Amino acid sequence: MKKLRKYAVITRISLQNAIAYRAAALSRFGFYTLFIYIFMMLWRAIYKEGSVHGYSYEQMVWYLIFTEFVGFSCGTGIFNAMNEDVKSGAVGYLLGRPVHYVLYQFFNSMGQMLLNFASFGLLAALLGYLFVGPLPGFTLARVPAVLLSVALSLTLHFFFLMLIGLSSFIMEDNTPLFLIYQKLCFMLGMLLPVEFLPAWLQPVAKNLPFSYIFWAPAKLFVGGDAGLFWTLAPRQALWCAVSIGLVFFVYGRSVRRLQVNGG
Amino acid sequence: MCIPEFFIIRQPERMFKAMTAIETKNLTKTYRTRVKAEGLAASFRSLFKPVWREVGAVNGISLTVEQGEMVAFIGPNGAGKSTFIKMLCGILYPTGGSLSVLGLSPVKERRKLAMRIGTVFGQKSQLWLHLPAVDSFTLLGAIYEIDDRERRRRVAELSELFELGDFLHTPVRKLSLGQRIRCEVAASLLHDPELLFLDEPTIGLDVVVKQALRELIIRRNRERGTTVFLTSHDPADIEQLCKRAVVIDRGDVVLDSPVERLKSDYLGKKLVEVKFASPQTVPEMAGVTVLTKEGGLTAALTVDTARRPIGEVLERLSLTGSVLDITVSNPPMEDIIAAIFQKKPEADQ
Repeated sequence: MKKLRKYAVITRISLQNAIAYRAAALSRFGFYTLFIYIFMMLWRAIYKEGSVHGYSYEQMVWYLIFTEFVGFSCGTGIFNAMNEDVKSGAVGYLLGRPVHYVLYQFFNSMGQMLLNFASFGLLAALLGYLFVGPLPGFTLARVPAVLLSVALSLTLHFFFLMLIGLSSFIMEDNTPLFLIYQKLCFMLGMLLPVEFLPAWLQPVAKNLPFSYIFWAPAKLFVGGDAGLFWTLAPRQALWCAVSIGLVFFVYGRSVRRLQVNGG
Repeated sequence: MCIPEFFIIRQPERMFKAMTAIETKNLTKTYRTRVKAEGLAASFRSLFKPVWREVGAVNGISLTVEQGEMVAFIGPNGAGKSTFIKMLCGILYPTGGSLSVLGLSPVKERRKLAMRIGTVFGQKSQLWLHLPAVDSFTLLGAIYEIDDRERRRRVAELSELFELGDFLHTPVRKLSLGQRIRCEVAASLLHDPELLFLDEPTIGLDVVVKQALRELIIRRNRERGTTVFLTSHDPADIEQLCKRAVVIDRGDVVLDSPVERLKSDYLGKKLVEVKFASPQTVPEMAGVTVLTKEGGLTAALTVDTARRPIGEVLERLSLTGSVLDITVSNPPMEDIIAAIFQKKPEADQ
């Protein structure tokens, strides 16, 4: 019981720490709003001609709001934190504790993610209503499936970021890996729904994990039905299992090659 | 100074069990680093054909520390001290050799070992910068599986000992360096470890807190049999805390001896301070160097005991007939460490 309790306390303390960053949270709200506004203007210009690939203008704006909400909820803090820990040598303290490093990082990030999820969720709903009004056809019955899908996508995104973060144990500069991952996510679901991609690329995208981070939950949110949920959620779960397995495998290998700076 | 109750509760099983706390055999740690010649052309060459070099941070150290010992592990910057300690804690994996800490393998049983050891890396922080230290104590209490009531009691006692009361609830980022390090050390003692690795623990502390910390460590060692493995560049830490010193340089042990013998063997000198009733000139003696001006009321001299026994010097001084007081002391540890590091023992000069 004490072993489980320690991870709950880690999340609680990290939540307290996240709440202490008020200025940072406000600046992220500002950035989120600005980003949505700019891309909404872009879509407004594109949508003068009518619907695109089956998405109405309102659906497209809500899609954008939703994918950015998922992105901001997870953040990229885990990647930066792991890099910084290795560079500063602070990783020594973490590895010297009676906790599993991977689990510590997960529960430690959970505090910030919970806060982001709640605050950006409210902001996203507010912006959506202000900018384009209610999402057409959305009913509360869709909420449980969407929430489950978001939970899976956040887990998937988090563990991929952690996988890239772990590379700092063996690489001096892993930023290129992060940038490649970020761009893949951006193009395969975050900015554009998979249906917007060229026909030959769509099946490729649907067989890669990146689409299941942003496209899958956003697609369920803007126009999903129960059938689509049972198509997408198992694939999300599968990629989650793969990413978690990879993280534990890579951690086990890379921790042996760790070099702690400063001795 | 008041010592908290939880530090002085005896644990007989810990006190009387004769056990080896640390044992390493031919322990090595090698890093692979990229080497690049100077200049732009070399940078391009390195891009396509990188050259790697093996660097031995620890080169076959064999060391045994018994439980209850207080050992100073000293050496110049880059000697391999921190790497060695991190291998003992299970943070770094050795390249070769074997090691056992408190009967456990740091490589295979890191988390089990972590419950029984404490670490202070004086130049790194384990506290949450944006939160008050008391929140970090709560987190550490949970990590080390200490129940809430016991944790609160220990925090209160540590707070009293380290005088944290005024700033325990202030965000750590707003504390001075000295205040932060007091919190860091207190955090490392929260789970009452059997073996303490102290890597530069007193860096940045003021004299009063340094002394309080040393007294606490001595008391813990005496009452609880806590083993202490210390690295420090402060000679007072080594002199006051440790009976044994292990000196390493470039990843190798260059000296393993009692601290007292270290002083006498390495410098072979005593510092003598004399107070006279009337102005005196110190008689000339081979092996004696007078550090003060002649004809004063006080004199300071160094005695090379290899060339002139200290008893002879004291006898000659007393023959002047006006000696009020004589103090004989060992030279400061700074000089000893400097001599070892430079590999120029004065006795050989």
